[in-house]
Amino acid sequence: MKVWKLVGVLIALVVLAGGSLNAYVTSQRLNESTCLGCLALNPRGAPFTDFWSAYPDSYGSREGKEVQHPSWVTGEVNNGSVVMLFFWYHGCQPCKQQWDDMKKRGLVEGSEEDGRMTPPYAQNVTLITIDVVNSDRTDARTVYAQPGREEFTPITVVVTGDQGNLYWYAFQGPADGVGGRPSVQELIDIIEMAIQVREG
Amino acid sequence: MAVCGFNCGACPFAYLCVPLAVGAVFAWKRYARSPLQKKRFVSQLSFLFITNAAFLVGSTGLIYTYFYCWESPVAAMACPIGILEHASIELNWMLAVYLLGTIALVCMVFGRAACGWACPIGFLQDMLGMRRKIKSEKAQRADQRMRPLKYAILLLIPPVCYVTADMAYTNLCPVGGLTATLPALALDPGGYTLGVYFVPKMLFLGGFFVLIVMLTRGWCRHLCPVGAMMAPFGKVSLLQLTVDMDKCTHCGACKNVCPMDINLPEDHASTECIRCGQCVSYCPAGALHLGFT
Repeated sequence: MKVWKLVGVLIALVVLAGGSLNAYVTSQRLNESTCLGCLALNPRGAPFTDFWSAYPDSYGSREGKEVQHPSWVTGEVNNGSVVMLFFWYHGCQPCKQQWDDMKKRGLVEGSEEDGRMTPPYAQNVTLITIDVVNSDRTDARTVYAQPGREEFTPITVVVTGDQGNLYWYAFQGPADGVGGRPSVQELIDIIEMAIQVREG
Repeated sequence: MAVCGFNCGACPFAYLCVPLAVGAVFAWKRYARSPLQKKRFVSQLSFLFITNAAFLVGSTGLIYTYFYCWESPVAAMACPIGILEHASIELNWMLAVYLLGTIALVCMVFGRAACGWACPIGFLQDMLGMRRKIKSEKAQRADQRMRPLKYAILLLIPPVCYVTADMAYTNLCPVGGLTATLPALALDPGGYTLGVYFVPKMLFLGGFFVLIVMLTRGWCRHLCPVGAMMAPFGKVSLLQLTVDMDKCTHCGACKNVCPMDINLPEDHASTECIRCGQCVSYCPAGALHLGFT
């Protein structure tokens, strides 16, 4: 009987150790994601004037360099869709604020996990929401975030294309119309412009 | 400014450098009185470095067993309260087990020693604390009545975070304001706009400073939810404060120096004890001992 108890305890310890390893990775990813709500600060953005083809001057050392969009983004754009990326995670107050505002304005529906564009946009725009703690697409934020600010969430990216060329715009922090970041209405305007670019 | 040879412009804690140095000079008078307190000073300094070692080891998934913000520019580990909030929001049980396992493992051995020997916020309080003792009986009673507040805060965090799906405590956390918000602003003053919680966070930070200047270890006594998490282990930990009642002359020196105002020597196994060993260092009869039982 004692042997079985020991085996039971050992199994429990193995499960706990395995779970802890999983939790360690989650904890590390959380630690790597800067919670702007925790800081009570939001990074300034580059106001939208036009879509970018390369990195703009607000990306410092990367200015003028070619953007290596992930293949799953270029694939969608080449299939004729505008892509909107939304990097977020549970408990990120500015992410929640932006998501709720986008829902109120009728841009998206559902929750962040399974969110989609509302019918007026769904035909032309593919929404990809990326939970930076649990998604295997987290690394894509290093492409679109300003250097040194890769960990700041939320990140919103709009990618469009025209005859094989890709154009994009991105900002970090909530879409609140402050500090160079667009408001949700301005984001809607940007998406509509992206659709026009897509349609030539 | 380059007083110490380092590049202050790139240091997120440059604004704390001079106050910490001045505080250390004053605090050293107290630390230097005994070998045990000198060891504690070295330990606190070492943990201040370990806590901010992300520039060497990156961001790890380990959890601090004391209070420090993981959004601090060079924080190497995760905030226990931040982990608790995420576990509550996502109902992530493994994260909760990982947190409780880490706290239990450390506290079963050391009790609340992390508060006295490792916590940078405790270190700050030791340096800023003016050894203000509560003299009037009325104030002492109020101090005792306020102690459970930290447990109430700890117990409220999971349900509030779950219901609001927000990091309710973190949004207002003064420790985050001190160790993350201000350093971020110091590093890049023009790089941010203020978030919705900036003003309340700074107000709480102001209150935090008033508390720790007015009352020795005021934060640890009344408000620290990490201390509340660790406190119950104080009764059963291997590291204990013991008293040899045959040697004790009841002079009251231990009670007088205790930063947590514990009723020593009677209440030597108190959950409030942070194992700082000041009572051991100051006992003229050598009746107190801090060691593994």
